[in-house]
Amino acid sequence: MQHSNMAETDGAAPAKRAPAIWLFIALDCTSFGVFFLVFMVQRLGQPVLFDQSSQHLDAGLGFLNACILITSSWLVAWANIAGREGRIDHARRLLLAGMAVAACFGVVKIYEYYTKFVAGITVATNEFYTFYFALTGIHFIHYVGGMVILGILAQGPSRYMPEAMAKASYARWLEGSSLFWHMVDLLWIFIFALLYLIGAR
Amino acid sequence: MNPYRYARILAWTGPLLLIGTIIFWGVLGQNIPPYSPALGAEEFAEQIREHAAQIRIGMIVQMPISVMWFTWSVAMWQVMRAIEIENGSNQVLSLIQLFGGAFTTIVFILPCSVWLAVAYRPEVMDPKTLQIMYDFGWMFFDMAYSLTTMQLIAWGVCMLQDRRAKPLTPAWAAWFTMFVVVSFLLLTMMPLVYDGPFSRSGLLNYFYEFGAFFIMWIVVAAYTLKAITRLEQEHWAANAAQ
Repeated sequence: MQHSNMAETDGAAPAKRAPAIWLFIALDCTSFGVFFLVFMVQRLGQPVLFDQSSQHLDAGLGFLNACILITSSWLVAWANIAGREGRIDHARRLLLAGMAVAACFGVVKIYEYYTKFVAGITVATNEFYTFYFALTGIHFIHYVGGMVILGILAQGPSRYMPEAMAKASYARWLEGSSLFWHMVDLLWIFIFALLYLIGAR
Repeated sequence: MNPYRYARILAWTGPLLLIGTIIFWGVLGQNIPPYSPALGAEEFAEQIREHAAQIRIGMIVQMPISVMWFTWSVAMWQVMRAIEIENGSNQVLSLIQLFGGAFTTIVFILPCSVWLAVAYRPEVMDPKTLQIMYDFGWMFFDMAYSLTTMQLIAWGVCMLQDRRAKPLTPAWAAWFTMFVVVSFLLLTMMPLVYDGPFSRSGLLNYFYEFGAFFIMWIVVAAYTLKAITRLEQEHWAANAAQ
């Protein structure tokens, strides 16, 4: 594996970066795991209400959003490989392409929220929708955060640091951010299955 | 002069406040868990009248001891300054942390004064007035989370910048702390619901969030104390070498 070559050029701290982002991802996934568990426990108490509410969600749009995020993740993974190999311009183009695809996720999600509000469905409608808005809302914050980080990385390595240090730092951030972006994608697949599919039929 | 004079005493005010908060805010203040927002005003007022004396004692003590959040923040600030000075003396993070700590102290004190007012003369007050005052206390207590989030993210980022071979605070503790304070975002749901896991007394927004917060408090307190011991040792070793 050659992925850590660039990171190792920058002293002691960089070697710790990869485990740190993994730790953050593990904590975040555990946290979502707790939310999913609480959702399932609450669902056991009122399965009919949860099933009926779930049927009002558009599984097609949920699936479309899963496809969008997987495609975006794939482009960001390629950007990561390009960055690791020092092909910075190529990495930047792939990041921009990944962001352009992912922007569709935001459009679809906002459209979905809009249709719910127009239909008079809010966070206070019932417990299923409290979970729907909470889980998709927290996920959306992750999505926005990820887009901002990808946007910053799409600008290329820092122009204010010495070149070798900037490139090493860029490769580290690219790797950490693509891991985070895969998590955003993975979490949506779980949310899609739990909210849109269970009880939809 | 020892630059870490007073630091150990200040660092101990963190764990002391933790114990005090559990006893006075939590147990005596009837906050484990708090009264559910789903309670009717009459039922809520009855509960307050029944426990008014102990809530008053709890809040009377919690208000003055809350200043220890600030003194503890000063201990954290001393550790952060040591790292910042070694890294070129940029003091942005320690400044943010210190202000965050000062503001968080208000987040402790102000709601306690509101709950103290609720328990002051509940027998002659309209139940709905008592309820809205109690709600106000909780809205402020939960929804001012960004002040604490700002404080502890600054702390976490600074700890990650420590260049020691064995850092003063391990990376996991910094990341865990930052994760906990970011997860306060979940509290956004609190003012929108009256029952269930997202309510102020619910499984997620009370037991999960406050459980994580208290564990984080222990982690930060333990590593602040350890860091001060190491910084003092480093200081005396450097002085002895001269």
